Amino acid sequence: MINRRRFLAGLGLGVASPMLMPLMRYVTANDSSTIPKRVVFVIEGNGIEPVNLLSDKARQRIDTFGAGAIDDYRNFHRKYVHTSPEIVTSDDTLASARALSALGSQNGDVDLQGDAAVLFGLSSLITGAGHTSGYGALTSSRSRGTVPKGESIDCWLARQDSVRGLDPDMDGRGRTPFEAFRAGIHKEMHRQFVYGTSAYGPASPAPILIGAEAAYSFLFSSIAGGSAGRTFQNQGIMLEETLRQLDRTANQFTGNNFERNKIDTYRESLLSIKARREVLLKQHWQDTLTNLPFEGPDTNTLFSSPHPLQRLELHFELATSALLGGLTNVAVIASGSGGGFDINYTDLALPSSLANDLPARHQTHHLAYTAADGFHGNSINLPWAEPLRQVTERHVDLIAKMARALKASTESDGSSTLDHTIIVYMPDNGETHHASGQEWPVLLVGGKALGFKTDGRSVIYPGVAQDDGHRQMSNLFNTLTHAVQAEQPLNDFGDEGLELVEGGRRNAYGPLSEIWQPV
Amino acid sequence: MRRVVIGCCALLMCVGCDGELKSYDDPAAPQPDLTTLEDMQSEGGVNLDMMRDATSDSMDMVSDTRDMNASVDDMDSTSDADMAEPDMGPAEIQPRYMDPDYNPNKDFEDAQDMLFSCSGESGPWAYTLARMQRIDRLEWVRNTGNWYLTRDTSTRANLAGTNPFELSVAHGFSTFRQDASVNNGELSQYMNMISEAARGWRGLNSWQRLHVARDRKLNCFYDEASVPDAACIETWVRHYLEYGAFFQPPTDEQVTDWVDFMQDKVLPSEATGQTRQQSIEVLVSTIWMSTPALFRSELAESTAQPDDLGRIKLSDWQIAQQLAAVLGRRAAGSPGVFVNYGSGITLVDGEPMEAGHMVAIRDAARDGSISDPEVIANLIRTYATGIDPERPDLTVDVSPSSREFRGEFWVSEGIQRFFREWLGVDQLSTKFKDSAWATSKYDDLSQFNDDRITHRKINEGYAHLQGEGSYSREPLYIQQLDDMIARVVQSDDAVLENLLTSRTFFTPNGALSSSTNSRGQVPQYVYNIEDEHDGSRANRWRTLPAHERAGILTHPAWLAAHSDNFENGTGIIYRGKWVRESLLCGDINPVEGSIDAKLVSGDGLTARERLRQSTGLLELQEKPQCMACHVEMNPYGLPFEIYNHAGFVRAHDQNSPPDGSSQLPTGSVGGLFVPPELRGLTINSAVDFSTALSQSPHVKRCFIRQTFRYFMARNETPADSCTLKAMEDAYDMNNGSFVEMLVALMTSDVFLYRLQVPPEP
Repeated sequence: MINRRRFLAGLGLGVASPMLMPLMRYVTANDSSTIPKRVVFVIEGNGIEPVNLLSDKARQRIDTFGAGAIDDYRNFHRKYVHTSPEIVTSDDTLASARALSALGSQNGDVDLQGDAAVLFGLSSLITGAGHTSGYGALTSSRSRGTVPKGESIDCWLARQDSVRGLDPDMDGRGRTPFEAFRAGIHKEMHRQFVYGTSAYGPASPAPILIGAEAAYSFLFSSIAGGSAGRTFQNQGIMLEETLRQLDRTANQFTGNNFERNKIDTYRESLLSIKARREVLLKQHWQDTLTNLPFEGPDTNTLFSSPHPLQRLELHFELATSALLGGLTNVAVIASGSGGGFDINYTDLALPSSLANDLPARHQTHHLAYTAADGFHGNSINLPWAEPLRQVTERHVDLIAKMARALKASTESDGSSTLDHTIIVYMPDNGETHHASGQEWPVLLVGGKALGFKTDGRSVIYPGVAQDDGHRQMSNLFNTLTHAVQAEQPLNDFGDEGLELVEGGRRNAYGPLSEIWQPV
Repeated sequence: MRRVVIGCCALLMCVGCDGELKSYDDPAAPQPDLTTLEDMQSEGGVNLDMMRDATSDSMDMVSDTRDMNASVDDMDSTSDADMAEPDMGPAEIQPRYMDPDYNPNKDFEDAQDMLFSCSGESGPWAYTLARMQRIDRLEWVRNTGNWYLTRDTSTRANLAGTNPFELSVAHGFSTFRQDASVNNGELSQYMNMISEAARGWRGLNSWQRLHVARDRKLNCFYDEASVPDAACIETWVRHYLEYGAFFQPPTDEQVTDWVDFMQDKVLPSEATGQTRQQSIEVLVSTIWMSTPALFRSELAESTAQPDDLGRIKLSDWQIAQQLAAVLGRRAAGSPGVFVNYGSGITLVDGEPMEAGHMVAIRDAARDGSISDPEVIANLIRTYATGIDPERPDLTVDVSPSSREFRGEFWVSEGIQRFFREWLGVDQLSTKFKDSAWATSKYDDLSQFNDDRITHRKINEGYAHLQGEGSYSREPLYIQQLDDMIARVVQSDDAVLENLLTSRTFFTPNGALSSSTNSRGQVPQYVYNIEDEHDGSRANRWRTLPAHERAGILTHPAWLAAHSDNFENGTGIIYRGKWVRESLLCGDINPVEGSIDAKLVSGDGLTARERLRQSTGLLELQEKPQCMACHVEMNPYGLPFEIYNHAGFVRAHDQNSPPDGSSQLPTGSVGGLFVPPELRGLTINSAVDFSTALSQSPHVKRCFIRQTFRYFMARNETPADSCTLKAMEDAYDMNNGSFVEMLVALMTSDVFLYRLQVPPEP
């Protein structure tokens, strides 16, 4: 295995190390018509405070709207009294935002400001917001609790042929073995996987892998040694025995066709899992997995780290490897979303006055709204606002690292892998701890070749009261469906499913022209 | 299946309904091509509501008849191609609405009376086809002997509780599992966590070992120092299958399967370093991938012979598993507890937990006595409900200290789930309440002269018990409702009437003080109770004022589950819809896709006024497309406007007095149905409305139908009329006993027999 730190360090310098050559040759094997279209969602539970994504220039623009200056407020959607979207063009100041410094070229890193955009003013009231919208964030529905009301956007994208590819050839190429990679962190870090963020459809949740070994095994178990490798092997015999007995049950079945259909459905599922295993065991994918620059649990200290944000870093690295290797073209990094937000962030760089008493996220938020000594309850100057800023900053750090890895990889047409990948960083409830749902700040990185205008701009959409000009998160999701050139892109994401989906609350159909154009 | 759609029947509400009314041909029953409401009304009294209800009922009939028509002679009718044109069954259950002399007011009673008529014409299609019912998430956790599973929010689940077998409530009751199998996504997730099934069986020294796994005869299997021989493996496998997975004595073929699997496929890996624990995990995991573990089968054994009606009685073990599943949401004899949890815990049947759950049911299957209806009856009476301060029904998931915060009455898990699903309160945790206190007496906090009592704290206290996150040991609202219902069911006297009218509520500790009962120390004022007390049960059970609360429909959990974010929002619609569908057994069609169903802006308006402006509540002619459905919902929801969206009693409503008045339809406007006993009633508030509902024979019969649906796991049909009649008689003759109603159902032929249909060649 290639040393992870050397690999990532090399990428950060923009230098293609010899270690990368096999990988780059693999990536460029796609001709320009088959360059994968990739989407990454990074969804942070319990809010992203808009001030942390606010560049100096964007602040200046909002201050001119006539609703008063932002001053020291951390969220300020009530100032969006303008009636049409305001575009703050690139001037390399995105990194001036409180949590976006990682996008800049500090320490000689590749500058990403010209590959990013920030969106303000998108709402998603249908989700109900609150502490978390649960499945609602990615389904544009009212889906807090245990039952998703619709298919999440990541699942929708993952099943598009334009994203996953068509039927694989004899070598298993042409279609990603995995429809998506979903992993993250949760307040209950001991759990192997959780639900609450993604959904295959109404009442059909998709899991988010929490466990380090679980996430690693998901991708690498077919080449893993040790206990993970043994588990993979054993799953093979488990599948075979289950199929054998199921076939006998089917042959002896005495029930009616409705019931027989259940047997058949189960059998198809077993065969599907078995087929995926067989694809992964083909030489092409074995070589890909073996050559991916990822350090496994035996030597990688991130696996054993007790710090949630380092677990998050591990999942980012797994996702990056999966994308670069073509194992999947869709990734979801769920950071405390779906209700698991009350995380104890144990490795923030805080002064001792805060570090010694830092509670889990929920209480930190409440402390950050405690007015004292002349500060109002929504001020950036409140001491407990700093941990929240740092959490967002750490997320952006990891996003930037992923983006730089993708930027250093090139496609057959000379464009970077990052150009063909859109990273969407968003909250799962809105603008704060008890969110109203009226503002969902979003950071976009990459995706130029998909049509995204990620050129350093900030776009400020009119507030919810400004009917015609206002836009919603479902419009962003519509945009993604167009960007991946789906056979039937959506202009009304969130209309399908059970009751309480976006439909009744939709403000406008279609994609967001301020951040995307057809290519 | 397509159906006649008249107007826009809104899940939300309807305004500016410009879409044309549509009609569709129902392939199951040819209908007049009626394109407008006016045309409908001109058809000599054809009743819109009757057509819709009858269509709904006929669709239910068709659905089940389709299932049950697959006799030997009619096997072709079960193919997918034939599903589009199912056989409706005997002519006597053809919808009456086709009759031009159809009188809705008379014939509605016939329509429901038909379901309770027991005319004697049952026929073979009165019986359920033998099913394979996949277990759900809760049952998987229970049956594998795990604990700390899902509570009222999924975030509380441990690993076993994250198994993928969540059942969609979109199917209706969670017991409806017509098409539940294991799909690709579920299987992928399942294989990641399936080894949790082995948690309690992994080895001698495992600190988490189930009592049932401690039998000395199993020790040879755990001994890492030696390879177990065939006899040892067989002993372990036979024991595990009976007490850990299948919950009945395994067949010889099953034992041979797993012995061979262990010997030939699993144990050889120990030569390359696999430990015995890992081997056991592989064996147990694979067993839990098999159909006998994942599915509860009603299929007949090969030696069983059908009777003259083509029925086969469920075997003793199948009866046992059906009973245990619907009552206890677990297998009969499912494992007790891990060794390290301790001993001395007694379950509801007086048995020690180490012996397993619902063992009396298991033992009755083992000795054959379960085929005796009286034995079944006694088992139901044992496991349905009871009173015990220790709350043995909660011992698996709830710590003793938290059990003290709950009432002393209990019902079985299956009965609890029935009431939660019927009442639709599971969705409470998904609701977000802006200003939970709005329009209540807590609008003005100056009365308290206490800086600690703020609107923010009241909201916080309210949210804590909604289910988003449990910040104290105070019971959630949904649990308070559980305890209220358990008290009524345990008394087993005029159950439905008391459910709808009882003023005895189980309340949280309302104190804001330093009471150690509430770690959150935020006010819990939703019941207008503010006094600080010691948190004892005696103080939690409160008789609330007669003008404020009466029954479960005035409980904050129900009120809040059926409303939205705002005090002047859509509660009238949701609550009215629930009454229409779940107490009157009516049917509301989904809103048309072309309809923009929105309330007018709410600034300064009461919900009543917003609704009037949006749907033309009083102007039937103005917005007929909206009113066609809203007239069926709004009158039944208006009485609840004495409460806000969060279930607080209003002190005012947009600075006017709270108004829960409603005029129930007379049944003559557009031929819309109303039970005779409710027609034209003038309602003052939810309190007298609940009283009126509690005394309605129609409501009682609807409740019986709902009970049938859940515990039979399918919709009722006219062919079930004798069973429904028996349930009603049992209820009435036992002074309104819910338990005896269940006994009548579960000792009926409908519950105990199945139609066995061979598959197509």
